[in-house]
Amino acid sequence: MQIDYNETVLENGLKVQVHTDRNTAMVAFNLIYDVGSKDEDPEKTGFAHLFEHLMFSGSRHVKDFDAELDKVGAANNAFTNNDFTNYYITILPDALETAFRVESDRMRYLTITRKKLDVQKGVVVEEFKERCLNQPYGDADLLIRPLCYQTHPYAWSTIGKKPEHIESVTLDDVRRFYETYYKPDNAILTVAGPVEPEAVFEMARRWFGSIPGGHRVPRRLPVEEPQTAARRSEVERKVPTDVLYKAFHIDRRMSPDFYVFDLVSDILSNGESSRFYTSLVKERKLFTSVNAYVSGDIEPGMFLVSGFLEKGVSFEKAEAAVNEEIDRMATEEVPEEELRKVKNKLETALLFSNMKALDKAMNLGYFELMGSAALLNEEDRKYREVRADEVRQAVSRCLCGSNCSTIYYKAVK
Amino acid sequence: MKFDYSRLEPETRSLANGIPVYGFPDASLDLVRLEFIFEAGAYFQQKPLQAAACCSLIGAGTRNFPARVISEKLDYYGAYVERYPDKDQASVVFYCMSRYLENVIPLCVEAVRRSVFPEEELETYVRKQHQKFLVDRQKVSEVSRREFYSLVFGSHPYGRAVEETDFQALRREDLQDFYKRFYVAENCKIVLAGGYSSRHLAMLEEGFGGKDWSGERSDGRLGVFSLADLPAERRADKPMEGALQASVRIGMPLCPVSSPDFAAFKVVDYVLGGYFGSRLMRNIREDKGYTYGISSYVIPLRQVPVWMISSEVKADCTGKVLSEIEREIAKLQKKPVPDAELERVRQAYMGDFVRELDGTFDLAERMKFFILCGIGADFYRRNEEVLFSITPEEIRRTACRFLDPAAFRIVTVGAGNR
Repeated sequence: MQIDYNETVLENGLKVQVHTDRNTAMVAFNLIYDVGSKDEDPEKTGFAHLFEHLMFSGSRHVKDFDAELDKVGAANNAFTNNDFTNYYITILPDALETAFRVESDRMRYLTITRKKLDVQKGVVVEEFKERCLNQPYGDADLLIRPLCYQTHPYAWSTIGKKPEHIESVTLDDVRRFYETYYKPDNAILTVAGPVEPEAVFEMARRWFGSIPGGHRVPRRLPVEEPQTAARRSEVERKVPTDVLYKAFHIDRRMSPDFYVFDLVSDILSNGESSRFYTSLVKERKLFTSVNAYVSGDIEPGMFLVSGFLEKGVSFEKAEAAVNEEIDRMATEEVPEEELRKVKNKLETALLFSNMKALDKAMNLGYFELMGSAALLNEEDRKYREVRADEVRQAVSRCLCGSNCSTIYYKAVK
Repeated sequence: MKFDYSRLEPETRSLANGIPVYGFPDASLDLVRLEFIFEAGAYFQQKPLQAAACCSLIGAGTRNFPARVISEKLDYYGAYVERYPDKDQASVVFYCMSRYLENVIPLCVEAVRRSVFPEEELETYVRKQHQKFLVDRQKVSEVSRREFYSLVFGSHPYGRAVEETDFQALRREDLQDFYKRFYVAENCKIVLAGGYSSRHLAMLEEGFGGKDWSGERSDGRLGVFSLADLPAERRADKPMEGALQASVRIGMPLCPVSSPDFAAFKVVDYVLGGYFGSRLMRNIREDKGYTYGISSYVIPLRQVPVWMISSEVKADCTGKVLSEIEREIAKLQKKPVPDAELERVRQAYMGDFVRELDGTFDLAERMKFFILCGIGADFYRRNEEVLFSITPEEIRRTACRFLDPAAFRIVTVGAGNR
């Protein structure tokens, strides 16, 4: 897989990248701001995401953001995570300049009113309920994070610790946040589709070139001390089945660890021939389903396991079986053929996640945020190079009891 | 015309036994999507779960390979398998890299034609689905979906909801019977898309073109359907202890997707709840903040499609949301849509359409819907014509004709005290 691109940096610090793709009718326009929930005040969590909602409130020359884009058949949306905030538009090539116009206007002249803030607080609180509070197991992420992270801001979910934090946000908070983070030198613009790089750079200069940089103070996040002892917690909820959650600290997205543990998670739980499925679900009937996955955060992240226990199976027995499978990976090398298998599966997944112009635009921007967009083209090689002995060593280093947080999520009888 | 409708027209061939193969070649892709669509949905089952379990266990154990071996092989070639048991159709989709397609096709033959439904695979499936059933029973959105279909369809196969006792009643023989009867060449259609070559087509011929898996077409079994047979009941309100949000569904049975009026109705639907800037979103989310999202859409079903509005709302605002929906519908029926809004709707609708069909796999995915409704690319040509020629007055009249509040079925789950 090879995704070529051109790039430039405007004088105000805005990074601009262009990938030409002639197999699509639509242009993808993707803007990343380097601010996420990890930048929040621990007493006002959920704020970066609430702010994302406010970015659709209109700006000085663009009263109704969505309407302007609808009028040219463009679609747009955004998401926030712990690391960054991502706004995207897909638009016909002839209308591309509209994307530049509306996006640059809200970078410079966002309109913030009390009425808009109050309505969006309501909307976000409903989102909080819909995703977390009114769903069985919906609060699991809210529980596992503070157990795993004791000082680092990954201790809270992007949606926030609780709805009260969102309700407490003031207009002043909103203005300060906008002034600090929504600046060209804190952003990456990526355009992909049937476009010429020079024409895109020219539009970028025309619409974004005059917005002053913000010269943000470099980010200094609290450092999480290495975990030295197992952490455990139990909760009781009105749910039908017991669920086991485990989280282990692993290194950041761009470290070698990430590739190893992504493969480990696939060996354990990707597909019907995976170890957890064949052993714990089918043969031993301890779980009805059990998953392993990596959080993939920019800062040091998590390797997670979650499993729905079979009726009548105790937490202790289920957990011991998960530990046995993990221990087996720490002591015995994964057979070459099995490693090849998960690498092949990852290659398919990688091709899938870079099929569309919008996927490629988002990925280029995301890798630029982590250092360089060129690194996107290294992904397949990095997975391919992982060796069986590295897998064994990494598992034995990280997936051990003293580096683990465990939650017994119990169904109330 | 903004869209090249010829892209929706596949390269069609037939295998020796008559199975159509719809091809969407795209040499720029290193991936392939291979879909097998069967007329084998829940509509045809004799027993609850029969059709879903059968589809979900395609390839989980075949005449020549135990489940573990075949999944091991598919995984080794980096292939993914997805199974979609629906109300009318059932389909199995294989995705893989082009370079492994010739290794994967023989495994598709095994899975699609030689599944044996081992007892232990069925047991694992039942355990997992039963557990999912128990979790879904606590989700307001799932409970209201279930209630809504029961309310609309009653005892018709579309309306029959799964009960907890159904899991224990399912037998291996049920799956074997269903498979033998419905997973036959006469009921099969193949859609192939992406980076494939003529060699792969020859392999499909060899694997699926024989006369040795012939049977009876299932469309001969379609019963006569009449709207008059649907239940008279119009409303269901189910409490859910401790719910913070209520799920609301309002809808009704609709004219066939292939009928001439459908295109005009889609415009009404789009204005009301079909996009982010719709009237329902602007009113109930962006102005009142009662919900994170509200939308309307059509579920295409062969015998009678249904249209519905659905949303999860602040539990104590359920009544207000229902009356706001009523008001928005009445407004559409009384006042013509302003020109500026109609222009916005036209562009946004067309933009969504072009976006949804941008990739080769998106085009291939559309075949299932075409087959279900007996339509083709002309359906979308006509949609575009109507979209750009319909007048505000015609939209108003269409809203009056279709959106009859007396015919609405209304379900709320988890509402606060009303």
